[in-house]
Amino acid sequence: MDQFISEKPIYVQIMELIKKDIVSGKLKLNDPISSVRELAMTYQVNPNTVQRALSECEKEGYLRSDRTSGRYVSADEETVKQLKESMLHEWVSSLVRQCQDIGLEEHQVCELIHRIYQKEGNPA
Amino acid sequence: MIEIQGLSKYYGKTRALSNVTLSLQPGHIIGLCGPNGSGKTTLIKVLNGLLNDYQGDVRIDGHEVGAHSKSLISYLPDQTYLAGWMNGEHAIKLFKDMYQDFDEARMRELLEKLKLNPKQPMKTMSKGMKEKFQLALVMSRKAMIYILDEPIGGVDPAARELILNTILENYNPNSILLISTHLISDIETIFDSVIFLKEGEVMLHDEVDNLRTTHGKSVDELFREVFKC
Repeated sequence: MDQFISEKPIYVQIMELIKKDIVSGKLKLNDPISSVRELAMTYQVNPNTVQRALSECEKEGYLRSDRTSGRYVSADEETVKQLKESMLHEWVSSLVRQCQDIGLEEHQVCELIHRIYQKEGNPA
Repeated sequence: MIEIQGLSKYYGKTRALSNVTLSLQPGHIIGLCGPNGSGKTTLIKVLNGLLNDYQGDVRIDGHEVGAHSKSLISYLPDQTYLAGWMNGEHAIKLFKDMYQDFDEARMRELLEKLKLNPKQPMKTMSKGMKEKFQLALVMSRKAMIYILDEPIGGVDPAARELILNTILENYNPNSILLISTHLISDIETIFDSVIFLKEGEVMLHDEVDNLRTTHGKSVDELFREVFKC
């Protein structure tokens, strides 16, 4: 249960987990989503919280529900692309804000990002 | 489903509950939180008909506390009530005789999952084993209301996860689940809403996600702030 931070509602954090799985390709178009009860147990959260996260994802168009057979991923390629871009934007903005807060220069940050990418891209 | 209006309870001159007004609806898991001595167990005892000399009005499913409400509530007390000479089989027999809504097949399944042996006498079980066993009994009833008084108090963190999953897997989504605890951080993600009791008074009753949005804090953090010594 350490996976959730305090500042945000849990349903929002579960939405983020689902979106991450969609963007990373772990969940693909038309893949079935586990039942509310199963997800509640996986995340160890209240089933109503899962329900809320899923219906919000539906409203935003990432999931669709079939009255008889459950829920499926409905995000097509274009939607996934947009989602990926908005996540990238959100994370980088937050990174940049934090770097600015402690007075780092743009080139310092970019250099470090570059170095980390090189190191992780070419493991010794 | 549960309507409490102006409930007060004194033990002699000591006030245990003071003008408590609460309305609890089905389909919710509700956390009853408060430090030791804040009135959690007293409130639970009133709901279960174990204390009668209180002021105020308590209605469950439209009835006063009594035979009807008792048949609706599956209750896990904070202390063991199974005699030491009993083993699991005796307790299962007892529940079968006492409660029409007791599902023995589910009980057997749960015992297997919790790795408990129904032949083992109560007096040789550890505290954690007894707690798990009683929780299994309580969750094997198909009740409208479950009231669990400190269900994770006596077990280690690994067993807590198992217990939470047992609760989540077995509770009826249309029932009320009222869980008292002071171990909030371990369990708060399964609550829809929480009630904070302080010196017998309701300090707060709100939805967990509301609290996170308004205060930017987890229930545990908020609790520590409200009850700072």
